[in-house]
Amino acid sequence: MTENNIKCDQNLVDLLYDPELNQDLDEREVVRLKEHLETCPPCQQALKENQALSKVFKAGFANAVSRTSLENIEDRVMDKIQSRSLPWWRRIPNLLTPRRMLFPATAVAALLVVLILYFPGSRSINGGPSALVSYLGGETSSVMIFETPNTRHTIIWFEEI
Amino acid sequence: MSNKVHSKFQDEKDLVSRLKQGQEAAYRILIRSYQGQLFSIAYGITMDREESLDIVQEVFLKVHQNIKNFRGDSGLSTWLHRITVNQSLNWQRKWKRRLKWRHQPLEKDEGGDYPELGDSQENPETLYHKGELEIALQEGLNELSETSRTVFVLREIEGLSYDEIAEVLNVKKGTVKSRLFLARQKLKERLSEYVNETEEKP
Repeated sequence: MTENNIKCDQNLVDLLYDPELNQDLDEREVVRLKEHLETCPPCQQALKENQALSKVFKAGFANAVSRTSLENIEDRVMDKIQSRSLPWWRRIPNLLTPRRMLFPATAVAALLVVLILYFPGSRSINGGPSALVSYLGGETSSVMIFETPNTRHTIIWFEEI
Repeated sequence: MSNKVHSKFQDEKDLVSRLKQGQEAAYRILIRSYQGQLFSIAYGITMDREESLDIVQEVFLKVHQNIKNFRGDSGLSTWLHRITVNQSLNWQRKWKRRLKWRHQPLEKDEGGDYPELGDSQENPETLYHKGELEIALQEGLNELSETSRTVFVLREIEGLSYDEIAEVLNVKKGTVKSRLFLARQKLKERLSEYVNETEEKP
């Protein structure tokens, strides 16, 4: 910006939009800017467009924001702040709320089901009468080999005579 | 310093002092005073209501966590704005959220109407127009860079000066001016239909 002529450019249009927003300007410069605006049609047009854009943006934005309720923010924040000030052992009950425990509890239950149903050896060895598979007998000892019918466990029975 | 500014400064200083002492009433005053502003900033950057509510809560919790380290070099509101902007931009930068934001614009229901808009007293044409404007706004803001979008929101919604915006974003004032100009140019193109309508009205 020269002393006598004010150059029309992007910064000038922004300044014209609301000169008080630029804290570098003194009162004399604000007056000069406003005087320039009165005699410069391109700047007037640019300013008009900026003002229209601002209006459109604020209308659309306000409409979107107005549909949001901020009522619960205060209570939620204060609950968390109060919870933070408790000693760690008093915060444990908060961890056991149904919602928080839902996922871990479900995971543990699923794991238990898998262990019970599929873990080898979790079933009873005594699945019913055993069948003699083989017998080896001698003068001092004998060996009998049984197989359980359901679980197919092999039992080796050794006896000293 | 004028009386009004001096009074506001003293009030803020008093509030900060009470916050540092951990007074519950002070935190409630803080939340009630700033929740609207901070939500507007967060929403302007993220354009997601639920996330903006979470961000605002997170900001107040961060204040509670860090208030003892607050030296008062900048004003309390500048600090709050800065935390809000950073939280909002961090959310934006997470790629999953960004993908969700870009690919799930405001949806119409089967009847072609926008749900949750306005009330029963507004005619369908007004509701439709509002919905279209919101979509155009979302798309327009989406096309801006992070800095341009944030500068524009802080200027238009909060009315911050160039210096205040530069302080919040920790950038030079020249950057603020150029980003604001670019933001306005792009949004004028995107919203030209609405801008021209508004210009023509007396």
